Amino acid sequence: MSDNTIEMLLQKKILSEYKSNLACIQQIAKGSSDLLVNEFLLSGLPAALLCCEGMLSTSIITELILKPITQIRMKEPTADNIFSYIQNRQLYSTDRSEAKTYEELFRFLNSGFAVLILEGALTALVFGVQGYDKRGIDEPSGEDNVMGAKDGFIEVVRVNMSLLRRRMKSPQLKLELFVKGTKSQTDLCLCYMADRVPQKLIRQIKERLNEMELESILSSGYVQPFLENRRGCLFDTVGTTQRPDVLCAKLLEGRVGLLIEGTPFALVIPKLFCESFQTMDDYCYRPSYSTLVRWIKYVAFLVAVLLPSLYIAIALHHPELLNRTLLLILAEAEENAPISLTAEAIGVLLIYEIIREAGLRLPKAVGGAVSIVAGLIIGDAAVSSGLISTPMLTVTAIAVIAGFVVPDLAQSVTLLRLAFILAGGFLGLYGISLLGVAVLFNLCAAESFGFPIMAPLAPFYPEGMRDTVTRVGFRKMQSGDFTVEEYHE
Amino acid sequence: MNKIRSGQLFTVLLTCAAFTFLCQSAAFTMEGVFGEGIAAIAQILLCIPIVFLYRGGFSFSAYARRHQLLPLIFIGYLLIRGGVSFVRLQQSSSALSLPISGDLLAAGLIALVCLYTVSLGIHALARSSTLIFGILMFALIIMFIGAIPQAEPQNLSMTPEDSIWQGFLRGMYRADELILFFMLLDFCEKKQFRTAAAIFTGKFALAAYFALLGMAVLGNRMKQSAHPFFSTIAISQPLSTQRADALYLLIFVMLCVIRITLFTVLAAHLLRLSFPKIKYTSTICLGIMLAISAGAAMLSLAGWWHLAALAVLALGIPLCFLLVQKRGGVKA
Repeated sequence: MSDNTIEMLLQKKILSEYKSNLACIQQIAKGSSDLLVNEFLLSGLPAALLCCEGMLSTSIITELILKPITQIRMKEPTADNIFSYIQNRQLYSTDRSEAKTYEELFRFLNSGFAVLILEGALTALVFGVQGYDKRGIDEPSGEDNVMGAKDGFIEVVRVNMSLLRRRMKSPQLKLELFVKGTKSQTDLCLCYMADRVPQKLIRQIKERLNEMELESILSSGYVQPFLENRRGCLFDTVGTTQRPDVLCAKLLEGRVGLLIEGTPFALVIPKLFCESFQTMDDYCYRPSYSTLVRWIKYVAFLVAVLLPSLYIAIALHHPELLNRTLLLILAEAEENAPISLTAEAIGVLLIYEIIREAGLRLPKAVGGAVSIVAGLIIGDAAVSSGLISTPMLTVTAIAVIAGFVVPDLAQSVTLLRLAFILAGGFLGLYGISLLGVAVLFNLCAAESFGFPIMAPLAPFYPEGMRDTVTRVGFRKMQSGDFTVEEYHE
Repeated sequence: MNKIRSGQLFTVLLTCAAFTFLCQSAAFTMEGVFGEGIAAIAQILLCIPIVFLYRGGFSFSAYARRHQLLPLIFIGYLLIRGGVSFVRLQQSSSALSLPISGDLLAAGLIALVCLYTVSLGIHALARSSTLIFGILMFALIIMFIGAIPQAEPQNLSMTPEDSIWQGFLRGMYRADELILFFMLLDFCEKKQFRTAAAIFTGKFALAAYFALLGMAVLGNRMKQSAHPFFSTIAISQPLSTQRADALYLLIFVMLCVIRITLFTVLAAHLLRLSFPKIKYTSTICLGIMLAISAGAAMLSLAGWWHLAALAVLALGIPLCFLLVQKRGGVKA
């Protein structure tokens, strides 16, 4: 059967004749082995309970649906009477709905619902009895912290919604569920605080999501580009988080969250650049210590991006800027290096990226071995053989480690580091300054739905400094009632 | 074009003005400081008709949409001053020891970056200026820390070779900000007189800071210095074992980009309004600026022509508009 025939059948309304109905369903599902059809007589009328194997709990469906349904005895058994009886008198499942078309029926079926079709009924009853295997809630791997909560989002959107609801019991927290992806029929959940979020933002996000014509949504990366505002921006304008506590904090500031079925990441809109330097731990430590940590992160970011390029620029083009002792050390180290400093730096960074990628994709046990080979054998051998100078390796290692301090910006940092190395290598400090200005303008031009990502620095909001330059205590913060709408331009 | 805030107008114009102080070739003198002070007062006074004109409902952009001659004069002025900024960059590049052979290449690279920054619009420029202003303030603090051990207060004295009148003229020669203020106020949310006062007071403060620090540090060496600012920073280093020139180079490039971007953004904007059929306006403007800088030998960087242009563009034209507006004749 062609794709078009299936599409046409899916658009049809459910038929009242049981046999035709079942034939149509089986025709649509032809070739799928996971469709289970349990045929039986319901108060004398032919009926079938359909479900998708592996998507629901067999014990629940047997105990709560099949058993009581087969025991129904009515004096005047018509489809309407039976459905009305089930709907109003029997509470088999808390999550019940009706499907009117085959498209709806299959969406429910493939989402783990049990579907009841009955002779004479123009609709199908659906019962939420999902019971598929899922990963347990555990600590997010990418956003570790010391004092914050240890639970993270998982791949099931409804579980993620419950993680939010547990923290935010206010009815102002709205969790709007909808379906996107013509083939994958992925559940997406828009989360926001109705009393905090700018209504225009919600409207714009919905418009953007409606523009999406994807066949499937398999990860947050599929949706993210539709929410990004401008091409050519070097930094993300849509944030991601694996932590429900972080998402709750963002929602309270008037932001919008988007949960996607099948991904343990939530998208946060809008994202400000300064948020990349904030972690949940900042709000658990003493303000003075948090401020220090935050400044360390700012410095680490600059070191991660600029240190190798500054080293190259100064060593190659501006040695007069170094003091004599340092100059002699560097000159001695670089004297025997067979390749130019710029090529050396790019080579070291590329090798690092290759090792990182290998470590990431390989099984953990082998990944550890890769680190040992890379760090001890290649690193040591490269320095001893004179291929790479010790200062260059040290500078690169410091820059790479500094990049780990702000994992949120890792992609941009990697690209910028290479670009700055090239600029510094060819044009010295002048090149670095030129590229620096271009990056600064790029950052300042970036907006997410009218929110400049460099806020509260540019445009400057003195009030915003209390959680950017410093981190004031909660006694002062509680009086703020801050929402991100203040930054809208 | 988007609206900008009063604070952003302040930082845009101040960072724009700071570049001219960095590139200054004339010696810093006490007379110069007093002259700058009087020039600042004059500029503040010249802003009064401009602010009144805008408060009366005038819009430069709306006017430029309907007329071509006057915007063309402003475009010409902006292009020439942009070209002069390129010249200043080339002249200063020797003091900065840029690792590039050929001054024109340095200007070309700046033009390339400006081509990108201009494409991002005036909003990005205004926001960036806030950050660049912050970095400038940080650099000035570093400069101060480095200069204090080298400074000798007895160097702060009057010199017979200069006069307050000459200082005043120098201050007016580089009063581009007045015309830029006239044009940028169109994009400003609030047409406040105090913004103008803050801008030109800030400009004077910057001029006085550079001059006093430069005089105190350089003393008699001022006469031999081609670029007093760069000579000052070369001597006043905050750390005894490590030079901080990289910071000043960064500042220099940032201020240069801000200034040229501003001239280009405004010129391209006017060009688009007056001649909507012309495309690639930013590229054309930057190309003309570079061409002007290439033929800079024929141009006087600061002189009577600039004073005359100021008198016409920043005083004559706003006053004429104001008079016509009072009679109910200006629609825009």
